[in-house]
Amino acid sequence: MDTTLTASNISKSLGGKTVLDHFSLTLEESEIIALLGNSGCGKTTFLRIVAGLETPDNGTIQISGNDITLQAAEKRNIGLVFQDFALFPHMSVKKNIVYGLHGLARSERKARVDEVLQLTGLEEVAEQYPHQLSGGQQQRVALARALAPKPSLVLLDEPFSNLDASRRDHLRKRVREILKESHTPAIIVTHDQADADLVADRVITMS
Amino acid sequence: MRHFTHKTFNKLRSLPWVLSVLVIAILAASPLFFIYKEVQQPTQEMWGFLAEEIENPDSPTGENDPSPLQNYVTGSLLMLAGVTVLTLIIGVGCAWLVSAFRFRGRALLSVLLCLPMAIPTYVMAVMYNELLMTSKYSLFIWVRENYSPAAAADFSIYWKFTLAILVLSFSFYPYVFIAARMAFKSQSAAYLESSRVLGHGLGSTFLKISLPLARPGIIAGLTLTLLETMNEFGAMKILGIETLTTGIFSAWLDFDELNSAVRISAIMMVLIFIILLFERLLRGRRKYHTHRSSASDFHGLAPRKLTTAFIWTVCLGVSFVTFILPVAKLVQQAALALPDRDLQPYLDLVLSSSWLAVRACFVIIIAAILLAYTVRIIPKWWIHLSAKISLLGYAIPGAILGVVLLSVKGSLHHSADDLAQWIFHSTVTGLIIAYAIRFLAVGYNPIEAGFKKINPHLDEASGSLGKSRLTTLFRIHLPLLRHSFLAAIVVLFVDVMKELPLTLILGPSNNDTLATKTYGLFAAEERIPEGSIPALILVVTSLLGLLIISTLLNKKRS
Repeated sequence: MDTTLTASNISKSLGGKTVLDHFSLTLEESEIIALLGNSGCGKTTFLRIVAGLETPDNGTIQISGNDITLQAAEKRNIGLVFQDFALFPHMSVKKNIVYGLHGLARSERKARVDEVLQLTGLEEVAEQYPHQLSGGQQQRVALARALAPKPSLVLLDEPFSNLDASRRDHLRKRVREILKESHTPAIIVTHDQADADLVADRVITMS
Repeated sequence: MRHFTHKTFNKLRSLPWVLSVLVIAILAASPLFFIYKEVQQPTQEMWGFLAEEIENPDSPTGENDPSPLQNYVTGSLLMLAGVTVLTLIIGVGCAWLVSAFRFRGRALLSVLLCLPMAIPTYVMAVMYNELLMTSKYSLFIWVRENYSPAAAADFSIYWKFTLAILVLSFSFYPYVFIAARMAFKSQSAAYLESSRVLGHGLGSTFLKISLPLARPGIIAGLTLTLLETMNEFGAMKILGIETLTTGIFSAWLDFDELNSAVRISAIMMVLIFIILLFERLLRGRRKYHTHRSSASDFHGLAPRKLTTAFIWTVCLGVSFVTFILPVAKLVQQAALALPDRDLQPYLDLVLSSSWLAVRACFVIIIAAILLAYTVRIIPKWWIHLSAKISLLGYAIPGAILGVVLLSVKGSLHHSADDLAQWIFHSTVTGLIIAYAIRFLAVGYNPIEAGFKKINPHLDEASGSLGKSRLTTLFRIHLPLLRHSFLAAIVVLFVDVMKELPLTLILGPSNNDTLATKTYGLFAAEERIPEGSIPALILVVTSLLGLLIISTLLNKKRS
């Protein structure tokens, strides 16, 4: 199996406090990893460093062998699902998904949106706006939006914490199915053991 | 039976509050009724002259020249269009720069960009006139010698309109800047980061995400700007631009025809309703709920050195042109007049203007408390509606309120001469009523916002301890609201001190304010250095007011 992501010796301090200390991780092709840990253990910071939203003080990030440590976030093609989903409230579901596809020709764009809508089972709500959707649907839109540009990997930040507890198990399975079906490797950051157990292939505990 | 008496008792208890709100609403709406009624009256003599196109035998196309009224409308529309474009570019542009990036001196630049609010437009107009006088003259000569006298005349017209648009935009862009800055600041960082991760750069993120999300706020700021533009009198008169507002003054002063002035007011109100309608439409129907989770606010990106230099150049440049330069000119002019001046008259002027402003603030704050508290304790739809109507005055230009009250005075003279004398001549009651109608919204908004933050359980707790609503208001709400009061009083004080058109129309003739004195010396007597002294006092007062407000706001945040 090929390696998708190699993070080596990542260190980062925020406000004088060391959040990450020589943290390393590799992610294989099509693998789903859960980063499990309490709040403040640096797992979200790690995610943001991989996405390019923060720069590490030390260490390197490689994607398929290329060093991207200093590359801008908008150039990385890494999917990111925020804890609160961050769906653009002034755009329909479809527009949200198209947003990341600005590099494609019109016909390709349409084909890709339809493909992703089908994958995530959102065809029926494609024209609706985020505030009209349930929490689970919003999560799938966020996932669909992240997957649409065919990212080399997807990062999910506490994806289930904002959702109704009784529906979580079902949604965890759905997310795993979607990731597997699209053959996208993923890192899930969570503080909930159940997320790790039900979604991930491998669990890394951070402290 | 018992239930019935209880209900009746409750209604009786609410009666004073309800009545006071209704009285305020009726008072605030009466100018509009009055305009409507007055327009039904037969026209006066000069109306024909105002409304009719002027024959022009020299016109090559045989067309008539536009009527004075058409000129007024054209002038107003040109100002509105120019000010819209310029304030949006300056206000939104600067707001984006200081919001998108995190750099040293950002707080300083944000404050500097708000300061032009402290310069009354008529002062800005005179200072720019002075600053550009020689350039204008040389350009005029150059155009006349290189083209034709006709071209030079055209040049004069272009020059005057351009200068007027610049002066108004320099004075009013802070409204847009502040609204846009708050809107950008409150946007969740997650939206902007999502956009970046999805492959969009800063520029594209601004156009597709930040700007559409900030639209309601920006439109609200722009609406305020446009209403101020419609209200503008002093700067227009000084720069020689004819608008509907200057038209109202001409009809009243030059032709002595109040009915014609009210007719022009009616046209103006139609324009204002169109502006307010546009605001509703452009704000959009969808209300964007802010994020459910406490997503972090966007604090800005760390810019590169070159970008920081660019931001500083732009923002400092804007501040230089809109604040530093005119204030420097003002100080220089005032210094010319100071040495051989007796300062006592100015001191008297400061005292009398402040005393007037304090009394107006007092009345407005009382009315604002009555309104906001009644809305709180009697949350019925018709109370809300009455409160909304009471605040309409902010959209009614001072000149209109002025001539309406003059007409009222006219009819009072017939029926109750003593009362009219008392309201409009021996006291400033009429002027204070007019201020109250015009500035009620300014006092109401911070107080209402303060009331909203007080937990309703406090009212119930106080009630259950046997305290009346009035006692609860005095013992519980007012102490908790002191910051909101201070904010409201300071903004009101500054607004009333700077107010020109209303004060010109309704102010007792022997009783100048700083604003009317400044305007009188600037416009009528063209004694710029002498006028610069009261103008400088006004600017310093307003700056102090802004300082107090920003300290208050910072205190609240921490």
